[in-house]
Amino acid sequence: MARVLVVDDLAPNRLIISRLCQQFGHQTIVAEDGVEAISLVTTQSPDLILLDISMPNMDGYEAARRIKSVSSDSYLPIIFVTAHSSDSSLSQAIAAGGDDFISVPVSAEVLESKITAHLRIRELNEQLLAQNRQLELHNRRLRQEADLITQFFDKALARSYKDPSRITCHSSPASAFNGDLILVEQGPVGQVYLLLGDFTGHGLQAAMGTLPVQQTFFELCQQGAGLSALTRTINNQLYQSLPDSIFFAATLLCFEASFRQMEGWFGGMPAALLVDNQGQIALELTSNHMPLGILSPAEFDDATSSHRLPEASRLYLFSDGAAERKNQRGESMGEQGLRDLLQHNDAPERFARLQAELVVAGDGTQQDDISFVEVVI
Amino acid sequence: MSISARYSEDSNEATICIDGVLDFDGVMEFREAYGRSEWRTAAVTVDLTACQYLDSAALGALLLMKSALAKADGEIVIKTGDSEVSKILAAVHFEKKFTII
Repeated sequence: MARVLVVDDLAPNRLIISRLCQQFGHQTIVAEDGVEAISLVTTQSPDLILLDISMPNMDGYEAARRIKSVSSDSYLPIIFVTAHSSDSSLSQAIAAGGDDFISVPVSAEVLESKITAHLRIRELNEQLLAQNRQLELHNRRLRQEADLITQFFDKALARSYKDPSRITCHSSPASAFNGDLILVEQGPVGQVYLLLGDFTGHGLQAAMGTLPVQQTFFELCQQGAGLSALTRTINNQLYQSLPDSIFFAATLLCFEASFRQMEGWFGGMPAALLVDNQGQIALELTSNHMPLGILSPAEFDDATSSHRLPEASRLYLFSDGAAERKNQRGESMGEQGLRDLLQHNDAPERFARLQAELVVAGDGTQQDDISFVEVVI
Repeated sequence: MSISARYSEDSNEATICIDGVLDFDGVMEFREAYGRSEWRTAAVTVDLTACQYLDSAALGALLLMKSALAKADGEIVIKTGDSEVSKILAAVHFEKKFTII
């Protein structure tokens, strides 16, 4: 049963139409003109309106316009009841914000069909609105959760050791969560550990793994653990806890306090590039291990390599999101592009150039988390 | 990206062919492609000769395939030819888990 509002200035018309509606099983309310109709729309919430066109005070067209403007998000059908039965009546009714028209004398059959059809649309519309509200609520909850979880990650990362004269980092996630991880910590004898890693995929599933990794990293670095032991511990931890489809490509470095001597473990990240003070790539440290979290403790290889680093050189690390990043022209730089960029820019400008090329803020095209690090030797 | 999978009952061989870029968005389709039970006993080949790029999610999907089909190291053959993809697989040393040709 629906609630039908019948608007007509003539009492006999109101009576006839109301009776018909009641016979169809609906409840009716009546108004004598447009002004009264509008006030009943707000106080009585009808489901459908049958509206006469020529009335004193306010005519049907004006009343329809005002009613539609107050019931904007739900569908409140308005059917004009008119003495004119020309084709232009329908277009005039629609133009005024009505949804249909019926001509007098009113045929009971036609009226019932029209009411049923419009109530059906109204019901569908109500369902849609309810679903939208549900979605909106759900979205808001998700956003709140995401904000909270982001704080979790940010807080954990704030522990990183900072030495701005030596190490500059950039990391921009593709979504709210970052699957790339940059960690820096100082050891007990002044050595500095650096980890740049990239979990499979992006978003929350990728970011999940960063929490245990950073915990282990800080703990072991503070104890002055060897790089092999550190790498092995993280691998075993991830091997036990990560789903099969997720792994952690990572480069782990340990610099002596002078930064001239470096030990490294390279597992599945793009090559680290060392640029000497002539602007030439003096050393290219390519991945020689599988990423972390794939190999069992028995299979895992923790062998590291040692490197003497020339004075005034700079070391650059990238996540694969950086090499694959498409520029404004839709081309990705690739590892060769990154190499060219490093060689064609003077040392102090390089980091800013990388940011300018790789980080196009908020253009919505970033597919993967992007991270890079510069270390001044 | 398009994925085609075929299984031959006569030879008990299964091949999954990837054309284009396999990334995060294509991983679900990839997983569905090898979901049939016959694949567990078949000789499986992943043909990437027409594949232009694999991201880390795609690499993860290869590892998941290996464990889902319960294959030992080297049992799944990955065909790369002389493509960009072969460099990607080399960088993460997938030859330790797959036979790459």
